[in-house]
Amino acid sequence: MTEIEYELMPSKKKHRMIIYIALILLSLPIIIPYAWLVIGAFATDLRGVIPTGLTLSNWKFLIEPIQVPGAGVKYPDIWLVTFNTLFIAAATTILTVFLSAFGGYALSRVKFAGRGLFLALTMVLRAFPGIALLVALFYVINMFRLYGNPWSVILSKTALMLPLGLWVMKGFFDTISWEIEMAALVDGLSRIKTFFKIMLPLVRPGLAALSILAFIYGWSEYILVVVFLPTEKSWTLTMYLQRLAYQAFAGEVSVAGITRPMIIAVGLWYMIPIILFFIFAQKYLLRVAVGGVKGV
Amino acid sequence: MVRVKLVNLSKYFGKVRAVDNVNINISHGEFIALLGPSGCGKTTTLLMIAGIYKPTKGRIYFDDKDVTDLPPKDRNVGMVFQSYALYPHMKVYDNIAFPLKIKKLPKNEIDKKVKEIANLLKIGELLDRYPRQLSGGQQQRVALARALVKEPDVLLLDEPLSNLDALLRVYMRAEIKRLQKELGITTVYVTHDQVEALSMADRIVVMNKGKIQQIGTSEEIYHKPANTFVASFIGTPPMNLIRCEFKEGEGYAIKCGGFTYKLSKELGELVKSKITSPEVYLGIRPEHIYLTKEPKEAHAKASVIVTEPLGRDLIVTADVGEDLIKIIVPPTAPIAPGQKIYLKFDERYLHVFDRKTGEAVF
Amino acid sequence: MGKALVIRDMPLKRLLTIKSVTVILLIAPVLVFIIIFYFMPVFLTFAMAFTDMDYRFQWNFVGFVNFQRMIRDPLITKILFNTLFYVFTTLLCFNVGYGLLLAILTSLIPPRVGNVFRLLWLLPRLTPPVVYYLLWLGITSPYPYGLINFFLVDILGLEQYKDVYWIYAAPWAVVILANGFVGASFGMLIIGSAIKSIPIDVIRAAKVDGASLFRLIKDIMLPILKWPILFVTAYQTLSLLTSFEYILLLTDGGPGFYTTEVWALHVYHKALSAFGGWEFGYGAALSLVLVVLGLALSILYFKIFRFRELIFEPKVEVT
Repeated sequence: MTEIEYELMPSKKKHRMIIYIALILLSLPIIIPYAWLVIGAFATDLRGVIPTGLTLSNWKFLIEPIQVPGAGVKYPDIWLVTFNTLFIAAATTILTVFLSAFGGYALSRVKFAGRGLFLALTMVLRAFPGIALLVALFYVINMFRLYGNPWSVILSKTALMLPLGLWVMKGFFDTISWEIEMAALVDGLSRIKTFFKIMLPLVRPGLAALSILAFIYGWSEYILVVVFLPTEKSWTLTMYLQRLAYQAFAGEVSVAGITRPMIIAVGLWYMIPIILFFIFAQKYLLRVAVGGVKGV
Repeated sequence: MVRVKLVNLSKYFGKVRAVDNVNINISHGEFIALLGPSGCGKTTTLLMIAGIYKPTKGRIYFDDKDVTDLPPKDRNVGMVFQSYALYPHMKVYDNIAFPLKIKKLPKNEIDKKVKEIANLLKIGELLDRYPRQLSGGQQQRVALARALVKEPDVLLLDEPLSNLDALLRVYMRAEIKRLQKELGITTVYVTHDQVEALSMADRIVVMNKGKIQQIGTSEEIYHKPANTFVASFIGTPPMNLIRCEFKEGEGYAIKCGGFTYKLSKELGELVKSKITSPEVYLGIRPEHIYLTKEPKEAHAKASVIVTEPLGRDLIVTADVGEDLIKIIVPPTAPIAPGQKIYLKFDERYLHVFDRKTGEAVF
Repeated sequence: MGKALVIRDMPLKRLLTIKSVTVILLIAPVLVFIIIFYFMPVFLTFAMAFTDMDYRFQWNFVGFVNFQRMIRDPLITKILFNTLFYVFTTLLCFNVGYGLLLAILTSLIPPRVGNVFRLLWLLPRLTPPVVYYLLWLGITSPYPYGLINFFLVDILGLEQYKDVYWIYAAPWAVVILANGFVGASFGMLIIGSAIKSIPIDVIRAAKVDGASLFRLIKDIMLPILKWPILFVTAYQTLSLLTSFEYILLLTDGGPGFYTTEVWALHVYHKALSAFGGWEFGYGAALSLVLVVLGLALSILYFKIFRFRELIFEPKVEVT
């Protein structure tokens, strides 16, 4: 399958160089800002992307909470905020993966009445922008008295991820041959045991890919957090960084003791799990990041 | 029409030697078949002649011109792929016209040539259709038309008949051969089907594991195989190879499991000079073994294991001591499993191979 | 009718069936989520649009008042124009244009290197919006901090750009670029994998026919990629119509009055922010336009693109 990539490659080295240069130039808008993020987090100050010096002092916020006098906001301890973010991310992941695995299995292997309809619904929902329902969602969350509660974000995000999750898991279950399940049943396993001991392990790559994606989206969630979790105590890193960045950068307010590199450091801190995934879980990301479309 | 010369041609994929030191000389207008099992390197060789693969070692010449470094578009070759590879988004007319459009020929000339070749291949009424609307046989002829329309110097075909049903295959075999003779284009034809190769080609190149086993006419390949691979690959059922030992004593002889065959002085000396060890194979094709009622005339005795009636022939599998051999007999022969039979070899078609190297002695 | 196959004292047919109870267990939780978070909100959006609900959550039906207000609002045309301008420009230049370009370029190089670029372009999509916002602050800030100005002043020597704050100077450019770079990855991956599935022989045939790389791309690859490109365009249109997170962060609809305010952002401003006064009723009415459009388009896409996706027939029956 990758044959085609080698045969599309231009044979002349000169042409290949041109393509590489073109790609690098086109990708500079990505390369430079992210380099800025990493460099800035360890710089004493920055001119463009050049640091004036390197330091670890930007990371002081890990030890003592940031104070911004006159900001109208009391910044909570970074560890509390990180924990909140982690909690939401983890809960979303677990919920999404479980529901998608069960539902995906049913959609793939079980012929039940209304299956076609359910399948169609899943596909329609994948295209439908759930975020258009935000106003009504606010009403629903309020109805369930979940305003201010992290579960408002967790449940909403899970629901928004379900169409994708179901589709991905269904796709993975589809690839398991029918005979394997039959063989397990003939060998004496009950259906439930077959599901947990045979089927689930076989779709492990799918579960892994989905978990990573769900975690990243849960960890990064912005708008749901802004709308449903206003109080500082329930802040996630999203709110923390947003307030900080707005005050120091855009507000152009000279803030005591807070430098731009410090804020960049907080940004890098927020990015850490994602950077780790990019280093260690590349193939999962490429597989599922645009929605488990067939062939990707 | 050109002469094609492959000199020390090799293609390595990492450690895998897909094509290893291949040397072939093709005269102009000749129809050459590259024959061998899957993975033997025949398609890879073809792709190198086309210019799609770059050889790891060796050179390729069209007439006296070294084309090894030329891309496909500068070689003026036409190629028919196993999957036909028609452009799905273009009508048949545009598929065939594509090579001419690239050459920037004037529109009326393109039209003339396309219609000419379409008529030659009897697909004139299909010009307005899309590939997905055609049957396999029709697609194949469109692929041929596309390859031929630019009047190539060399025509390359990669197993073009393997996706057709048996009846169509037989028909197309004759068609392609006739067309080739009529147009006189130097042709290289890749196949794993020996019937295709034997019936269509002027000469056959038998390949295995990247190496050439033998080059020759169908006659030579069939009756004078150069080694055990060719002997057992060609022929249905393949040549019998009986394990024997070369014995020198009062004369020369080959001692096989259940019988001994005496050799004449010249043959004996020939064998002795060529073999690397006394272990040899005695080779004889199933159709060159006869049943005889006279034990004195027989070369060997055998006991019947199984008989397979095939309508026109009867194939007998028999045990000659240490080996099983197959014999083709008339369908009415009174043979039954368990029987003891006497066999006579047609000595004109007897072969001896060195068991260690596989090379033929005679 | 022979004897039916029996395994473990159960006829095969029975083994293959699954109790409906189990099926319900498997999909009930999913259904609950879909009902609560999709069906109910759609219904609610319809209902709320005809009320004047605010933070007091009173159901007070007022007929078409909200819609009349919408039509009469002098700024609504500006918002509409902004939305359309935003969607089509970002779509054509970036989601489709840049994405297609990246897809083709990355397929012309060895897969390992191609993957490096693909991962790189995946970064913006998987970066938390606030961090991405931080990056753009870094890019657009005035000299000496902003990356653009640093490049213009220090490297090109164009002193006049020293104090330019690009988010204020060129808000649309910033908004479109920021969203575009995120969107390009979608097109790149979808079209990229479509390129990988073009049969290799078709490419070889084109080479033998004499096509140069340029002709190969123009006459062979692009026509074959027609459907994936269409898919990306359709899908991303809907996605862009309802996205507003990055605009909220970067310009908050400004600078000034509604310069970059798009429809979805307007909903947020009216209904879910303190400035708007928590006008749920009006917000719902505004949302309704998006919801109806969203439903219509996603069902349309389903109909058009659905037959391209295989429906795998399961073998297990339900008793």
